[in-house]
Amino acid sequence: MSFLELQQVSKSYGEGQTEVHALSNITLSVDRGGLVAVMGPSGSGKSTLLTIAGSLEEPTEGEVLIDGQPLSSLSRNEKARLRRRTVGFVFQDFNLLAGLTAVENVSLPLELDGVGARRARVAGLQALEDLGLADRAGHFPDELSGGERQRVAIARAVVGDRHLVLADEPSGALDSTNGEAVMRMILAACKRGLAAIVVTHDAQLASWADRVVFLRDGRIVDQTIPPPSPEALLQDVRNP
Amino acid sequence: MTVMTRPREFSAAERLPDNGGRPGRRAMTRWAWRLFRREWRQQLLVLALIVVAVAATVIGAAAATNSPPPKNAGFGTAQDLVTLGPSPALAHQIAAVEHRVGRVDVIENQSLIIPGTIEAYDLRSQNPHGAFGQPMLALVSGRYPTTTSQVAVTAGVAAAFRLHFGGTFSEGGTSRRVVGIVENPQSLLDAFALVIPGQVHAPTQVTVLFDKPPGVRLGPNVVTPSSVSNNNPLNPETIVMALATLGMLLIALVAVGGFTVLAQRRLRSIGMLGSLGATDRNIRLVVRMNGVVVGVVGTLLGAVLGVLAWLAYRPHVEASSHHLIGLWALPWAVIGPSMGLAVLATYFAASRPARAMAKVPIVTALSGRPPSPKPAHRSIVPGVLAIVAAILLLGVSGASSHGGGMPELIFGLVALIVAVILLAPLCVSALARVSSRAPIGLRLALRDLARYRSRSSTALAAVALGVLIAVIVAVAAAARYGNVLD
Amino acid sequence: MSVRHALLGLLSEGPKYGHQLRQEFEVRTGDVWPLNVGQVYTTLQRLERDGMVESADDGAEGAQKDFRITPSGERELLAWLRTPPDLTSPPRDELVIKVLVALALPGIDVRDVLQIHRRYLVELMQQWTRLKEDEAEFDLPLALVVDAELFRLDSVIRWLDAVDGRLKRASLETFEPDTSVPRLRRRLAVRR
Repeated sequence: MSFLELQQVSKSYGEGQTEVHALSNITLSVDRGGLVAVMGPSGSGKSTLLTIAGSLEEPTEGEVLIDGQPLSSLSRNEKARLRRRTVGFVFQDFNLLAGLTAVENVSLPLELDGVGARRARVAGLQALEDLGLADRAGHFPDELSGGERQRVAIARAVVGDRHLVLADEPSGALDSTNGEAVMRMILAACKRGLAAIVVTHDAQLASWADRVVFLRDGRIVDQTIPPPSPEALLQDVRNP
Repeated sequence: MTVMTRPREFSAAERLPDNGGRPGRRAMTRWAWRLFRREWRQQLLVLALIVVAVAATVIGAAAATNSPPPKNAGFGTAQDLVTLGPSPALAHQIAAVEHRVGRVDVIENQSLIIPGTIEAYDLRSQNPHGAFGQPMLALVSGRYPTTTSQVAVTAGVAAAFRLHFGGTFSEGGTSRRVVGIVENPQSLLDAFALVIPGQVHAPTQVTVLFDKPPGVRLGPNVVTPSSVSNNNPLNPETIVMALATLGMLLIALVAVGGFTVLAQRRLRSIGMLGSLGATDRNIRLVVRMNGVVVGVVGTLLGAVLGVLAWLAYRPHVEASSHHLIGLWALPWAVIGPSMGLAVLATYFAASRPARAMAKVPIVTALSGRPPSPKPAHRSIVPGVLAIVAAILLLGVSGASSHGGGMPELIFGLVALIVAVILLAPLCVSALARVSSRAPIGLRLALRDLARYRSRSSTALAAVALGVLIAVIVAVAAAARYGNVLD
Repeated sequence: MSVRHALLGLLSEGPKYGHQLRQEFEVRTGDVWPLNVGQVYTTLQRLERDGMVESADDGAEGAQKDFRITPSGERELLAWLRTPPDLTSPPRDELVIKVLVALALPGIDVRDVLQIHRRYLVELMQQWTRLKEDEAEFDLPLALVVDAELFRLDSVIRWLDAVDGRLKRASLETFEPDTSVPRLRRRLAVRR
């Protein structure tokens, strides 16, 4: 059931003396409907993990599989198609293109994929409505607040029929109320079947995830154990 | 607050293979247009250059093509004319021509001298409503003569004879009353006194205008506008076209630098597009579209500006060329292609940064750091070859006998332009290398120029080209008008 | 734990009897801090002794004794609301001591110790957040209590991250303690 799998992924930059190991031997899998948080200090390789998982970069070693298909077998254009149809990115800030309205930003990936402007607009408006932003659809990014901009970014990341959302500090520039709203939205998307990885240094945001993975110096050093389900608790009580 | 993900509502059949087809192109064009609307001030330099270039082309072409006398001067609307000298059989000759070709328009001129001067004027008989001669006769005030005792004169003749309306004009023993002021629109310097046909008794020259019917053969005296005009390839249209092409090349060179800087400012947005799944073609399109938008807007503005300037300048050209010029007598055959050239120039200028931007890795673009410039190792051989060829050709052209050498001249100039463009990067890096003793400000500037050679070399080439154009114009003008006895 | 002041607060709404006070306290703090009846009555007796509350019918014993706040109690309540607690001396924190001990022992990797605690805290926070996710949308007191707990746990995690950072920097530069100057004994406290 796993949708995204990283198999012993490593990434290094540079050569010889100046070689930097951004990631070493990362093995991670995310199921459909699963929300995984990646926590770690800056420089731990969190952002690199995200860019590799989303086909923006290639790993030096190891393999990334999305829905069973290895990314290394895809051509440049096929990877672009993957990003149009399957993977949605949310960055910390500066997600939207100035000069396009909110709904135009949201429907852009669909239009790039060949969906006609009118149908794409309808889908974009629906996505914005689901996030409570239907009345801001015609506004430009510089007319929106930070929280609204992030919500539009999330709408764009889930529009169409995406299966994977990769978010890099999505609440980084927001206050705690807006930050919580963003995590609730991502969680709601997961409940509808999306898989999501959220990279963050904030424990409060990471605690929204089913599973938290701890990254340090490019390696996974720890993972949280999923809390026991109520049935498991009951089992323990009945059979001590 | 729930987020819905829709089931597969966009079937694979609806989506085109890569690049998004028309909707993708439209989305990129839309973004390019919106960016232009927001940030047009950042592109003011290139925009202004295009506006000025197109406007200058429009007004320059209009002035240059309208300054020489009109092609059909002396012909009116006729295709052919024959000139007959004084002869006792004149009437017979005219009748013979008329018999062969049908309709004719006869203009009789008797050359006279203004008393007390050495200036000549004509006593002319012409039917103002003749079949072919109407472009050569116009009424300024009053009316045409209708009887034998009436005459209409040009303003120059009226001034020389101190005539006014109702005054008496005496010539050859006949007195006639002045009833109107006339002029020859195709040659305002033409001085004549107009009488009704049949009143010129001793004509020195008779011009018969007609349209030769096909199949009729006439004598060698018959001329047509094309046989009269000088079929020089160096006519105003071609010169203006050549200069316009050079000018657009110059603009393209400057624009490359301008568009590159602009594209780098948008690097993060381009990275964002990449993360959304835009292909290299989409990105190249959006950067190119930016160029085209600037080109189209600049061209339209420049054309409007040029036409307005022409409307204001037209009277001056009329006065200096001594013939009337129609309000809309613009050489569209030159202006149209020039406008198209301007748009093409910006398209190609934007193609360089378009390719460069598409090559930047998405992660680098997202971080907003411009990629470090790769040193391009270009061979200097083509540039050196071009300049040697240019010098040789120009030398050959100059040494050839007078009147010839035109092809060598043109090829030599072209080779010179190519050499300038190819050698510019070399000059930039050579300058940077010898600048080690220069003051710190200069040294920093030169090192920076050498680091970003693609931009600085195009700018250097543009400046050199501009100077080259000025030199060519000066040399051509000196050659054409340098003869004091001209 | 200011149960007495919380009871005063409840009583300032109107007279209540013991069981009612216990029930209301629990419900209105999101059922996070259970209270037993004996504790409630002990506190009420102390309040009565201090003149903050008075019982409605004197002489009637038993569970249905009604309590009422006095004017002195009202003043005390207001003063308590506006007076920040004494936070000048840092409490004796077991985790801080644990880390300090780990630092001193040569065979222990402090960062492992930190990570164990970090994971534990995050797992706790996950459970609290699940609570917030399910119920706290509509229950304001519960949301406030859960937030308070999350921020507290978060602050500990952030301290653990800070320790990590300091250790990393310290390992990059070797530190020689200056033994020539006598170390001053410090009583670590903050002036009020």
